[in-house]
Amino acid sequence: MNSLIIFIILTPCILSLVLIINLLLPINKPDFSKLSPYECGMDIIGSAREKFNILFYLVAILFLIFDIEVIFLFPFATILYDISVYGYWIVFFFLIILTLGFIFELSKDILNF
Amino acid sequence: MIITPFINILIFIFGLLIFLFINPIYSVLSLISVFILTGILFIFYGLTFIGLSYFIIYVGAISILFIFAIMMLETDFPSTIKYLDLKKDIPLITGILCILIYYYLDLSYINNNKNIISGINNIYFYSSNIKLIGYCLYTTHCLWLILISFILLLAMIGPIILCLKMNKNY
Amino acid sequence: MLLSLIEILLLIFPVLFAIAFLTLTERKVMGSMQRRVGPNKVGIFGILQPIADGIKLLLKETIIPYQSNKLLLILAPLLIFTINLIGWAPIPFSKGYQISDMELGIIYILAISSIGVVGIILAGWSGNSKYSLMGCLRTTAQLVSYELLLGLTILTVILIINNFNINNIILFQQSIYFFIPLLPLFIIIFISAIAETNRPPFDLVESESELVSGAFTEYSSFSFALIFLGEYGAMITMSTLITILFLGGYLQPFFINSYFDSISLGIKICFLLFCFIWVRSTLPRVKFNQLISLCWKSLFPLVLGLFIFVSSLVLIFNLTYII
Repeated sequence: MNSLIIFIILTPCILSLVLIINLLLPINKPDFSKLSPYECGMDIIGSAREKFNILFYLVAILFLIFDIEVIFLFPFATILYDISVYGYWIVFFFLIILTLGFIFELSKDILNF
Repeated sequence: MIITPFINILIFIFGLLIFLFINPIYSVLSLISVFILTGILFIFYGLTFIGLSYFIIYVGAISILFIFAIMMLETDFPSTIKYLDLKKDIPLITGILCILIYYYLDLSYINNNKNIISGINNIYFYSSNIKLIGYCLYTTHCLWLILISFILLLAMIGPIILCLKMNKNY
Repeated sequence: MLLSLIEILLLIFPVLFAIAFLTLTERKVMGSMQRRVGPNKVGIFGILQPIADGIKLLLKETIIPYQSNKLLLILAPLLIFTINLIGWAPIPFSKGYQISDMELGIIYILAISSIGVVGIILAGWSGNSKYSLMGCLRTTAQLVSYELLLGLTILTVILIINNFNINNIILFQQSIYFFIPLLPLFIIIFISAIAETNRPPFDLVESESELVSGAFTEYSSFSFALIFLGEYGAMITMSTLITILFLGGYLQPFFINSYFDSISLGIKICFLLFCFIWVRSTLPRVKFNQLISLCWKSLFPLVLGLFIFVSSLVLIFNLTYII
């Protein structure tokens, strides 16, 4: 078996060993007020699940799109010598179209929380 | 590569569990497991770049979107599996049977002579997966890249306009 | 197999010690910058402080609140720390001395950071109180924005080398370390590394007076220790990444002996960690909208422009290497 696979399997084992020691060793005396959720010292008001600002979701979607763009640019970094000028202009065109979208996003000034 | 059939079976089981769990949290966890196992499968078949890009995009970006969507739901779901009822769930069972049949029947004789990328004639087939992808994606099949850029542009503009409308309503 | 086991243990335990002593280093260096002494009671100069902290946290009671998801609450910190440690696999301490010599080492490290984001969301989400959910959302937006910058910066450096293997990246810096021609990228990756690891001035997640403990309010004893150590571990991993890409990895300016490779790597990582702590004690915290607009409006167009600039320079002067 590969060193890497042994590494990936061994690390959680060592850490869970220490975690099990922590779960068994101290004295556990659960109490109602110890187990209630944190609210700065008072009783909880309302449920924890509420609406959140949609801009968080927009940041995640924009990250997805630009991450896909970065993934498409990874092979370009390795093969630049062989596709010299032709490939460069194709990638330039690809980036220009995505930059148009980015200019649209910047001009609408959408990411102000 | 003795381990590949086991990974296939695990992917199938986790894929089934995605819609069989009632608790949406465990569904999302099964989805993330499917993505991780698919990435590992690609790496085992030698396509390292595609496997790692599965990790970066699927686990790193798409799972976040799913978790954000689930975050707004209440948490008092029972953590059991939904039992399939024979009268109501006939389409579902038919679908699963079709997948199993497609997996075991070899239907590849239909598209025999269509080699889209003749990898073995290209010198980069023997060096690495990422160089081969780069060579074909940017020169021979560059139109696909341009098409992808337009799709991404569309995907960018859509949510921005939706969020503009929401901000105006407030 | 026994040899790889020894190799792996020789990596894991020094890294764990390094993370533990980094906590002490931070407290003492910040103390010196504020003209006071840090902790100095426990050992000779406070050397045994991290061990004392660890033993204290091991002996504390684990509190699992009733509204939280019990399985995720215990597993998520384990996942975070494991993923952090797994990122150490392709990093060389001398020529060829690494756990696994992958052809795509740098992409592996990026993939590990991406999976780390999911780990942190699950950890914040399983706490299930208002503070956890709010902190979780803000963390995700911050981590995700700066990870994009990290990926694009790494890509721009790879344009010169044309290879993703980490040994090759270090060996190509024998003529000149990359932080001299690519200084703007070095500054940008340093800023992204501070934001990726949730360090001040970008530490809105656990801003100690604002959100209690941010996404990790509901954790106690060893789970808290794992998250806390995971943060410092991420700091070391990011410093190592920056050292490999920009500061020449294990190379020395004048060659002494190949035994000094790992020592020189250590010195460069320590210098970067000192800069992290220095930035912490100097700059005030930014607001959340300033954080997001810094990434999307200022740094991201800059890195895109630098990518096209560097790739056109590489083409004009024919700077690519054929491997």
